[in-house]
Amino acid sequence: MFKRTKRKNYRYIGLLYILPWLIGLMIFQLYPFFMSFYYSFTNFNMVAPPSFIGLDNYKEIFTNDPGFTQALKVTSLYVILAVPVKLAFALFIALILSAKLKGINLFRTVYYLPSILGGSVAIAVLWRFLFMRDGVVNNMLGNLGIPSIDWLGNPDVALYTLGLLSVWQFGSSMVLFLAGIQQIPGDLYEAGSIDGASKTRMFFKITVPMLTPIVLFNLIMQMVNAFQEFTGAFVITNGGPMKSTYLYALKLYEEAFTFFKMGYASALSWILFVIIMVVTGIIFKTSNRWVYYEDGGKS
Amino acid sequence: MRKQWWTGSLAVVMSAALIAGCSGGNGTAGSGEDNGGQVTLRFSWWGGDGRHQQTLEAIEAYKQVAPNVRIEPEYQGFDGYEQKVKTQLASSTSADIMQLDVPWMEDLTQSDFFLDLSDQSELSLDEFDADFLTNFSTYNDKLVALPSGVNAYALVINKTAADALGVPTDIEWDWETIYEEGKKLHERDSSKHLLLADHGVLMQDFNKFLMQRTGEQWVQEDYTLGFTQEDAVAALTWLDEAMRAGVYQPLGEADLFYGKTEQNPKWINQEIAMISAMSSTLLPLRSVFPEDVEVITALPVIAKDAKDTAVQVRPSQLYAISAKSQHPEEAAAFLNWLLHDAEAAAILGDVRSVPASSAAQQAAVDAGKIDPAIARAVEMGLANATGLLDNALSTNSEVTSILQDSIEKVAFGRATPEQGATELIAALERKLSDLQARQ
Repeated sequence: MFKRTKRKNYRYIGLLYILPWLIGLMIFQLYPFFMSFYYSFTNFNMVAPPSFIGLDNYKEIFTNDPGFTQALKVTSLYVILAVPVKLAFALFIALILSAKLKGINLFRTVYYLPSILGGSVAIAVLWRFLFMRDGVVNNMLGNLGIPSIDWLGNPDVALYTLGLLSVWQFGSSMVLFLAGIQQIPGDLYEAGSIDGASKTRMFFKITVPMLTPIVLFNLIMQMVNAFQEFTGAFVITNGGPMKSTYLYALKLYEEAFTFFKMGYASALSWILFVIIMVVTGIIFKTSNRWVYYEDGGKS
Repeated sequence: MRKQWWTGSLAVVMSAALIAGCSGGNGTAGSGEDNGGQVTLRFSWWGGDGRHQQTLEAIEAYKQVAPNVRIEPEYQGFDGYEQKVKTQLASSTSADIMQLDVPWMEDLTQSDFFLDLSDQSELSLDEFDADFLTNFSTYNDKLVALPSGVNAYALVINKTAADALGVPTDIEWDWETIYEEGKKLHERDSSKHLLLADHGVLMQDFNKFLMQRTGEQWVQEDYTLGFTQEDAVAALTWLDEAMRAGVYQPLGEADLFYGKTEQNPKWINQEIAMISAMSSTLLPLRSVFPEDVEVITALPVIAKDAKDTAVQVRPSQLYAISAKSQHPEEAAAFLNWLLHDAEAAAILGDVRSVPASSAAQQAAVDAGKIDPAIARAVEMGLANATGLLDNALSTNSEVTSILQDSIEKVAFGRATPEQGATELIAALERKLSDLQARQ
């Protein structure tokens, strides 16, 4: 009897400890989450109270909004370009940093730094000054006799330049790859070298398959982040030139805070939520074909 | 057990603090009165460094005038200010006194966010031009805001650079002369341009071109267009040719500094001679030059056969007092001092262009605090303005965003002026009927 009461008390005390987090979750996550769903069926300009309009916002988005199509197109291209390149680059650096060299930990820290700084406004401003017409990058190219490129002012190039900013923030993926590489049993490589496999062959036949669970994790996390990318496009190009960097999050922001159509913006955010959910689902569904788990994925 | 109690209590306290922190304030947050009868008022504005410094100095001086009033300044650049103020108003956390912009007022006056200033005995209104108050400060028969200064569109010219580049500065500019001079300059040196223009300035030039050609606002209050396909093609053709001839800096370069024009390296390096701007922005534009660089103002570009000059004079900004202010009388008294008092005028000078109050204007002139270039821009504006005012639709952000799309397509050579005009008219007509339906 006494024991049961004590256990019950422990449960309450446990709940009490996580109460600040639970309250935060309810106020800052769950409440906006459900309210935005409600607002997506309303006309709400923040000045007047919201009025219910049914599915009108969704109808308008899918049938009469060229901005939505453009934003979706630009964002898809951005995700398709930036995510694989970033992962490949992160893996490349992780391979280099997995070498057992003196002072390697310092290099690992240094290479992680861009990920801490990368999403900030200050770095976005720096990116603008680096890549503008008379910027540092073009000056360096000029010194090498290469003609300057309009990195941010040319509608055909600007999105790739923003993609570079994303690739530059490869640190978190790199750290995970590095941990994964260090977990690969050395006897696999030993067996490979006894069988006469080249380094390249061992990379593709041992390293890559053993890292596929981490590739899956990184792919999903980076894809989700890329779909919601905002800072770079907002600060550097503001969606221009000619809407060539008009990412979905920018469209959402514009509807919410330039046109003050909060209901419409809420509908857009729910559509993005569904898109990310579907793409994540597809990746998961196909993962059993290309992800290798040593234990067969049972744990 | 004691440790559990202690940590458990801490969790309860943190939860209570979280809930208390998240509960919305009633009325303007931060305003209040402490035990000593001290009143705190929040005052928010946007601007550049010069405006911030002078306004802070004025707030400091007000401590001598009303020792029981403490003004809490909230200032930033223009970027994001509109969003912040609208969100604060919607959540009842706005400052007591707010600096606002004319194009936002139509939206903001849909609700009773602001005090009716005609009811405030602390405020003197006689020093303002009555038409100014009627046209820009009165909404739904309520005087909701007061003008900070008189702002006129003008050509801001770096005379030192213009002289060095062989650009005349003593002529009246029309669309032909500006095209010819810009073309000649760019032909002489392809790194130089006559005009600095981001998409905002290009849209403004397009509007002025149309207004001068038609004598009407480009979007009418009855949700119709004030121009024909032919008018739009003419305006876009001029723009297209000017862009190709290098009269303007390429849009892709200029737009990287949208909203912060003075940071454009070509302007700073004096490789561009002119910009079409409002007189209130002259100080930040000049602030990036060395002392010996002379900056002057001229009348904006006006077509030879213009039906309307399209020269506009409007308040630089507006000041409003929140209807939820807990201290409306003290807020009105501070605003009155800021707008009319000789000491305030001498401190603020022309940081918000020429003061709108005649008393403050005189005091600022007497103190030698009005820049001759700003004074000239306002003088010329007042002499040439023909009274064609921007209506709410012509500055509506959804409408202007359509214009931006069409102008960008033409400016980047991705659409001919004919295609641009056709797309523009079709998209505008759709949007206007949508906006009308929402009314």
